[in-house]
Amino acid sequence: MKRYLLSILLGTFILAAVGTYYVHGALVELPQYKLETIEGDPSEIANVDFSGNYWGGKGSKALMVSEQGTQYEIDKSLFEENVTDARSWMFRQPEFRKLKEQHPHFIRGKNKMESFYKDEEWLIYAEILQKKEASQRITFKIDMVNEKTGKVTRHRTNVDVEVEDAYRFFYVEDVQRIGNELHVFARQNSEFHVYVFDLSSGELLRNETISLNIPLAEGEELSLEFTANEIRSGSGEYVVLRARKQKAFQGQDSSRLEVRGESYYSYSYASGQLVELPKMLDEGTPGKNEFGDFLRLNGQVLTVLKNDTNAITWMRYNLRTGQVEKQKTVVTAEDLGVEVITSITLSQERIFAMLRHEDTAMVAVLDAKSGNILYKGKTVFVGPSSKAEEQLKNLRLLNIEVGV
Amino acid sequence: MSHYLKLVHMEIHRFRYPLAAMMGLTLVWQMVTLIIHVNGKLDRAADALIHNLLVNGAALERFSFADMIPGMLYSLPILACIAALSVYVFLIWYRDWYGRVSFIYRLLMLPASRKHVYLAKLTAIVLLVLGMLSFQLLLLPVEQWVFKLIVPAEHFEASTFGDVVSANLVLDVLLPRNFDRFALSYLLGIAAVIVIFTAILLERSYRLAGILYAVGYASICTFVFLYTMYLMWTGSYLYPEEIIAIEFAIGILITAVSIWLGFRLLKKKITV
Repeated sequence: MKRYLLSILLGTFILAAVGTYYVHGALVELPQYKLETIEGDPSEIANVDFSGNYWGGKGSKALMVSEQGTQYEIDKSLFEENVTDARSWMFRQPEFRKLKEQHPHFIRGKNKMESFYKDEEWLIYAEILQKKEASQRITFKIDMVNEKTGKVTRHRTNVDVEVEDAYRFFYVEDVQRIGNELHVFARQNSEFHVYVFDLSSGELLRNETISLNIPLAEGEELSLEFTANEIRSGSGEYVVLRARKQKAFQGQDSSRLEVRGESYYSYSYASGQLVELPKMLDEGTPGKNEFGDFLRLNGQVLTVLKNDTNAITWMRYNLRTGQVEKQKTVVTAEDLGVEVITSITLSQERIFAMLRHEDTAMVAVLDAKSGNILYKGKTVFVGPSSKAEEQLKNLRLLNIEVGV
Repeated sequence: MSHYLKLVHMEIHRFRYPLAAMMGLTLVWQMVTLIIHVNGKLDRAADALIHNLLVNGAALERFSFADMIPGMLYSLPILACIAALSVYVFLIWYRDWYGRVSFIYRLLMLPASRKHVYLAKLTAIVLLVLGMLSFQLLLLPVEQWVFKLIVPAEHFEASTFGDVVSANLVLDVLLPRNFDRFALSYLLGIAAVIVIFTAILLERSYRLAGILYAVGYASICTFVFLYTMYLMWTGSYLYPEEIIAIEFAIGILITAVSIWLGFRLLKKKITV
């Protein structure tokens, strides 16, 4: 035994050192937090995670906080990182998780959420294939599965396009079915086109160019934003386009972009009409052009929403009736009992807001229709109360992830 | 089994002096680097303190052990040991052929299965790597204690062991926070050593042509394995769980084929 002492010592030393390191690591947890209800219905945040960073110790550590507790990015197992959370941009959305469960073979290799369409009869995926940027021919790849029979049909339709620029990029913004027609709303560099196909044969019926006819002054450029239905694969009659005239100014050490005007348009797949919408949030809206706003389309209702950290402002417009459903509503930080509104998002008629009050991260959920506060909660430290104040200061929640 | 264990001990015993030298080099280099770095930091802090007090009475600079070790200078002995052990993956075989005495013939003529020789060398490499890793794990709290001794209380800031490891890029890679990552990294390393061992035995079996076989075999194994990993990142037709399963299967297949081929070459091709 004495003869083999070196090897025995080495083996024991390895087990002790590596074992201690990982046992110690498993026992010593990073600070844990969770969301605690102050008022309202906690089910409003049942499917919501709040992401941010923990700033204690050296550097920051990314984490997610929810009602259930905290998960740190660095604590994720390999399986979670590479399987459960893989392609999270798509499979975090409940609609796409459901599609994968129902049609696992059909969904294979199909990674563009905007290319899906689903109703009771069909699940359709349409994308544009392009051989090289300057090609004069693009191919529409349309795959369809009948929900009742499970039969898969594939169409490949070649379309010749006019090439003016040296490079041309095509991609699908939205896919909708109107009767026996498939409408593919596509962006072609700075233009929008609607390609209409016969659903049975895949034949191209027509190609409509969406012309906004916005005059530009010297140095100005047009930025186009496309907004489709919130449920990306869902049926939606309308899409909304926002056109912003902007000019870039180059300083010595920096550059800035000045918005010179913006206009909104709705396009109806059923009628093929492009209608200019009235001004949404006007120039007097706090923070307009400074912090950016965003659009959400839920069926026929468009919500334009903005946060300038002191107030949330939004209005709702019905695209079918052409009427304002809800005039400009402002909810201030003071109304919510906080100092800062850090960030917001809108999902399914609910405005989720991340707030900050005296170094504590808080959340609120508002009804987008009425403006009522449906839920208010705060983050609490799960641990000794003597450490709570310091640990809450180390927590910074920044983003809201809905529908996990 | 006892034959195998005796061979493992023999391999460890043969490497005891280089192992001790690597441990000694790591200890001395890291201690000296730490002390020099801390003293430099204290001198700069003293200058800053005088200046700040005169200008605006700013707070004393505080630093922790985790602040002292991110530099490449601290990691240099670790990288040198990795290089030395990587070379030894080859030397553990070639020294037996080209040493003062052709020891390999004595090993192959032992009254036991030749695969024990292969497995003993593999086990020795694994133990040497993990031994150096464990030594570094032991060294870190010792260095942290030395740091606490030499830094005045007014400049001292505590840091957790996790922060210390993640502060240094090399340590962060060698000692991942989660055990599953540790297990996967080192299992991949063992698989790589197995492929290299088999390549070495191919070279030893077929001499000049064997060099081509060895390089070709190692290249094919590497390409096959890395290509499946490439699939993961390019949004392929396969789902992530399927790619992971395929990667595991290919990894196990490559390892199993390499071990089988190595055993076969030792048994049938390498003669005394």
